[in-house]
Formats: sequence, C-alpha cells, structure tokens
Amino acid sequence: MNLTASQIWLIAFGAVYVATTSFWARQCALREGAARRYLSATGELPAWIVALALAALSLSTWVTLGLPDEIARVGLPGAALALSTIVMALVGVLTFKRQWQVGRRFGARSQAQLLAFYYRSRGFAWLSTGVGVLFAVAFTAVQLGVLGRLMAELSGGGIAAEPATWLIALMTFSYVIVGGLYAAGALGALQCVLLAVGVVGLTLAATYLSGGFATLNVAMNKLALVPANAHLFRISGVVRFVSGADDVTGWTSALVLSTGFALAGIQASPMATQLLLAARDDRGIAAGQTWVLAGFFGGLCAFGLALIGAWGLVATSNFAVGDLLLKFGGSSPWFVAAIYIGLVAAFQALAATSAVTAAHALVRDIFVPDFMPDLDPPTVTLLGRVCVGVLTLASVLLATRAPAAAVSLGALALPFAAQLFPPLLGLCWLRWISPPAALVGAITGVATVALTDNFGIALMNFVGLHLPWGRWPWTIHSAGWGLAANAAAALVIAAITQSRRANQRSDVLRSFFANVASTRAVQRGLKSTAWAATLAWLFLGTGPGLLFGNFAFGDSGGAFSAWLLGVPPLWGWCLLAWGLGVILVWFIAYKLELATPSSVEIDPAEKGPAARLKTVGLRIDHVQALLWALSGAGALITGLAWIFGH
Amino acid sequence: METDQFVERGIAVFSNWGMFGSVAVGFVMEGIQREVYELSLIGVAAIVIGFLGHLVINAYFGRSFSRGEAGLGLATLGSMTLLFTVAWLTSGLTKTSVWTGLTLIAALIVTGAIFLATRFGLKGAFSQFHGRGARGGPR
Repeated sequence: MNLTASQIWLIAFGAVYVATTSFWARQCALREGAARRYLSATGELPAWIVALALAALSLSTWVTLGLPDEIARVGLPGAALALSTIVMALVGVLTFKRQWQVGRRFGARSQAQLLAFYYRSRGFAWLSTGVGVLFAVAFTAVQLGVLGRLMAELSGGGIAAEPATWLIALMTFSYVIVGGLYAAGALGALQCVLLAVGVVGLTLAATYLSGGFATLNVAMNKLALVPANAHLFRISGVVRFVSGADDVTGWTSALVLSTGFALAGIQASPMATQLLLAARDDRGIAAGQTWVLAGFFGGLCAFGLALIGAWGLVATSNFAVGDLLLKFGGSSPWFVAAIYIGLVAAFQALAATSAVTAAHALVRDIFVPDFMPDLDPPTVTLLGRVCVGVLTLASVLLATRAPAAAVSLGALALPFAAQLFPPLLGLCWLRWISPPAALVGAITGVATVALTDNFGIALMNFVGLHLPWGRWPWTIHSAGWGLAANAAAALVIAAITQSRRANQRSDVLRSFFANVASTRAVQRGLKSTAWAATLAWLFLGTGPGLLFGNFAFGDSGGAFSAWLLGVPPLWGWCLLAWGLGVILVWFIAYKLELATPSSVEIDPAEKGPAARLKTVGLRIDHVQALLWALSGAGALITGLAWIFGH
Repeated sequence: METDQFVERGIAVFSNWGMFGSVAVGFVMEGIQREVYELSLIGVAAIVIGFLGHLVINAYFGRSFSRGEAGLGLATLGSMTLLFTVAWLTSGLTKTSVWTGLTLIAALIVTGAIFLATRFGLKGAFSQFHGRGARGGPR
C-alpha cells in the first residue's frame, strides 16, 4: 500500500500527539490518590492550567470551525459572533470567582453539588447532569462527525469518515479513561496552545492564499459592489418578524446578540464549573478571562477566524477551514497535518472534560446521593470509568449512525447551558431568586429553547402538534427565547415565593462573601460606571447598535476608497468593539475586583454538599420512582404520536 | 506533591514546545521546500526561543533539565547532524537546505554551549551530564 504524503504526515503527527496525551495521562494517574480522585480534581490543578483549559473549552472546534463557516455563508454579520468571546468573559468574571469561593468553602466538586447545596433542591443536580450528558454525547458527536469527515477528505480517501470518527473517539477515550479530570484539565492547557497555534497558522494560510490582506479586502469590495450581496456586508435590521430565521437572508442584530448568549452558555455549563473548582486557587480567573479568553482568543476570533471566513466568502466555500486545508494538501502536507492535529486537540479539550464531568454528575451527583449513598469510593471510580466509556460510545454511535439527530440534539447543548446562568447569578449575586424561581425559570428556559429549535419542533411534529413557527422565530436564537422565558418565570415566581427564600442558604453565603470580599469604597463608586459601560457595550457591540457598523467606517456597498479602514465597515466595527470589550472585561475583573484573587484564606466548612447521607443499600423506592417517571413519559409520547402523529 | 510538580512542569514544557516547536518545524520545512532561506531562519529562531522558554519554565519551577530531556535533546541533535552530514555527502542537497541545516546545528550547539557555560561555568558544564535524577534535579 502506497501512502500519500498527507497520510504519512497525519500518521506521524497523530502518533506523536497520542504518545504525548497517553504519557501525561499515565503520569497524572500515577499521582498519589489519583484513582480515588479520578472524577474530580478539586483544588488540585494550578491556576494557569485551568485558565488555559477553560479557554480551550470555551472555543473548541465548535467556534474554530463554525465561525469561519458562518462568515463564509452569511457574510460579515457572522464576524460579530466573534464578540461572543467578550460575552463569555463577562459571564466568567461575573460568576467564576464566587463559584470557586463557595466550592472551596463548602467542598462542592461540581456544578450540580454547588446549585443543589445553595438552593437545597435536588432538581438542580438532575438539571445540571442532563446538560452535562447532552454535552458529552450530542455536542461532542457533532464535532466528532465533522472531524471524521475532515480527516477522510485530508487523507484523500485513505481512511473513510466513519473509521476516522472512531479513531478520534478512541484517541480521546484512551487518555481520559486513564487520567480522569486531572489529565483532561492538564492536557487542556497543552490543547489550548495547539489550538492557538492552529488558528494562527490557518490565518496566515488564508492571507497567503488570498494574495495578502489588502487583496482580500479588494476582493470583498468587488463582492460588496453587487447590490444582491448587500446582506453579506450589512446587519439586516434589529429584528425581523418572521416565523423562523431560515426564512430570511441576512442576519439581524437580535440574531447576533442571542447567538452570542448561546455561545456564552459554555461558561455556565457544568464543565466550566468542574474545571473551575479543580483550580488550586483563584489567581488565574481574572487573567484567564481578561487576557487569555477576551484578549488573545477574542482577537484571534475577531481577526483571524473572521479573515478565514472572509477568504471562504470570496472563494464561495461551504466549509472554509476544510477547503483551506485541502488547498494546501498538495504543497504542504505537514502543515495540513499539524493544523488538523490542532483541531483535534481543540475538540479533545471539550470532549475529555465533558465526558468526565458527565460521568461525575451521573455517578457522584445522581446515583450515589439518590440511589446508593453508601457506595464505596473504589466502586464509585469504577462506575465513573464505565460511564466515561458508555458516554464516549454513545457519542461516536450518534456521530456515525445518526448524524442528523446529533446535529439536532447538539444544537441544544449551548442554549440549555445558558439557562443555568440565572441560577448561577442567584448563587453569586441575586439573593432574591428563590429556589422555586430559579428551578422553574431554568426548566421553563430549557423547554422554550427546545420548542424554538429544530429538535423541539420535530418532536412536536412527531406527536402531531404542528407549531406555527420555525427555528429561531423573529430571528432570535433559541437561547435568547429561553433566557427571556427563564427570566420572566424567575421574576414572577420570585415575587410570589419570597417566603420560600428561607429554603436557600442566602444568609450563609451573604455572610461568607462579606468575610472574603475586599471591595474598597473606591471600587463601589465604580460600580454604576461599570454596569453602564457593560450595557452600552452589549448595545453597541452585539446588540442593535451593530447597525452603526453598517456605515460608521464608510459605505459598506461603496467603492474600496469608501471603506475608511480598508476593511468592510462592519468588520472594522467588530474589531473596535472587541478592543473596547477587552477594556470592559479588564475593568470589571480588575478595577471592580470581581475576578481578582481574594486576600482572605478560605477554610473548608465541616459540612458541605459532598457530605454523605446516612442510608444503606440501594434505594429501591427511588429506582421505582425513576422507572415509573420514564415509563410514563415514554407512554405519553407514544400515545400522543399514535393518536395525533403521522 | 512531587508528582504534581512533575506533571505541571511537564505540561508547561510540552506547551512551550508545542507552540515554538510546531512554528519551527513549519518554517524550516517551508523554507527548504520553497527554497527561501529567510523562512528557514524564522524556524531556527523559533527553536532558539523555544529553548529559552524551556529555561524560563525551569527557572519558574526551580528545576534543571531532566535526564530524559537532556538525552532527548542530545539524541535529536546528534541524529540530525548525522542525517544532515550523510545527506550532504551522498546526495545533492540544495543550497537552501545546506544553509538551513548548518544554521540549525550551529544555533543549537551555540545556544546549548552558552547555556551550559553561563549556568555551570566552563569546567562544570560536562559534569552535568551524569548523576542527576530522572525527573530533573533541583537547581
């Protein structure tokens, strides 16, 4: 069998990469007590590693491959999605420090434990677990499928898409099963660096293929001069009252803002909290969110990925990154292989953390407390490993056997995770959010997301209920609809259940935060400025103010000389908004001290969410209740489909 | 905690070489393939910067090169020199390839020698190649 140069380089780089991940996973497993702490590495990872791993998790291949494709498909309005890195960082600086502090004080090892502890509600454990499993199975399946197909194309058909998908899944599984969360986090830092190098390489390649940055912009200008292409270079209004976003060409600012909220959902996901709680201290939060995520990766997205997308737009490519790599396949196969491994690394940063987080949630946050509280630690670890295997298998089967279902389900993961942001805000800041308000709000948000996205619409069609709207009604992403419903439900229920606030541990946390806070009077004076600046940035950067980007730096449909910055005006606006966004995140993180490390030492409390319940054996009553609930739901759906469906 | 430190330093070292190493390999390969010596020079510079980055990481963690790292570095340098010499003598390497190879080997030897001389002194430099723990001795 004669191997092509592309295949040889892919095998060579792949082998080095697998050897690296396997070696470090083994080293992580050799640590003292590593087997016992396989599922959670609470307080063990250094801050710099967590900062990098969180950045890699936030972007993964979803943004790296998706953003250029979106720009190539819908034009420069897609570049505004790069600003979602600023929204992600804002979520991070608002909640990460306090989540870490509460976790350290009360010994929480996961988001499920954190929320269930604060709200005294097991509902949050189930909700958080559900979101975690969705990420581990469906969200990773989508990326797995894309990477499998890309490998098949890059290898010139030397390896088919399906075996390639299995191979990538195996590469991930081989180190996660050995090293657990510590390895996933530690290698996340390395994967973050590889991702950054890959994006820089892709940007240089796109610039080279375009004949230079100026030539690319001239080519875009030629496109912009055609009136039919106006929507590719302009935001098409604030909102369009259509049944679904697919019914119109061109993006509205409402779609940009709500999609930004969806992408920022990763910061409110169980994986982000799990990694955060694994940090040894809180020194890396401010730097990680400000300089790594908003600054470095925000810049890479706003300039680099947008440039790759612009190349795709000019080249009328449907898969910008893939086509770019294929063009280099003949002349620089080593480059293609190296970039591909960078993309696999970005995928693994998400997949590995998702798998362990979901396994932790299923075993430690659901099975142990609700079904078998006296399970011994070695069995817990064993069950966790089994769960990692099952979740990986489910993901790869979904990717290879049901790719359409994977896309439909995977699209729900980020908007679902965004619905956990209000409960996290309640934990960190808003004491008036009562447990019923937070839980009902989140469930309402999740249901609304499902009903305004493809999956829910298809499900409703299946049971015979034809919804009068399509995907993302009024050009608002399902995450936006979900958050609106979530906030509305939470506000109403919080207003009528104020007496239930005693259920949550608001007083405990209030006094705890008062003890560890170091906000001086001068910082308090800056609060109103900061919130005003945040609202102004959201309005101008990702909200209706994006319309100014259509003309602020020249006429988007005019001659090249009319583009004042030498780039499409909307892109120039996005770059400006990114710069201002970094300053905003820095201001909130450092000047307002919302993400800077606390100077007070936090001592662990004696009783926390990880404390064991005193029950022996399997809780048969809980198992029966679960089976009845599942059977009831299944019977209801089947019955509805049988009566009304077709 | 010893293992934790070992893992953390190792991840930092691999991240460093993941970044500068891939840049170096890329530019050297492209320089040779496209016959552009300047591109190769960027690659060589990236290797030197990667080496300096490794030194910074060593300083941060208060460790020196481990026996494995030193062995890997020397073995790579040795095999690279051998391959380059054989290729130069037996086949007609292009001018850019010859200059790239010579620059790379010279840069690595000079950087390594300067490091050893400044760190241990001319006399003590050679004694560093033995008697150290596999995971890198303290400084």
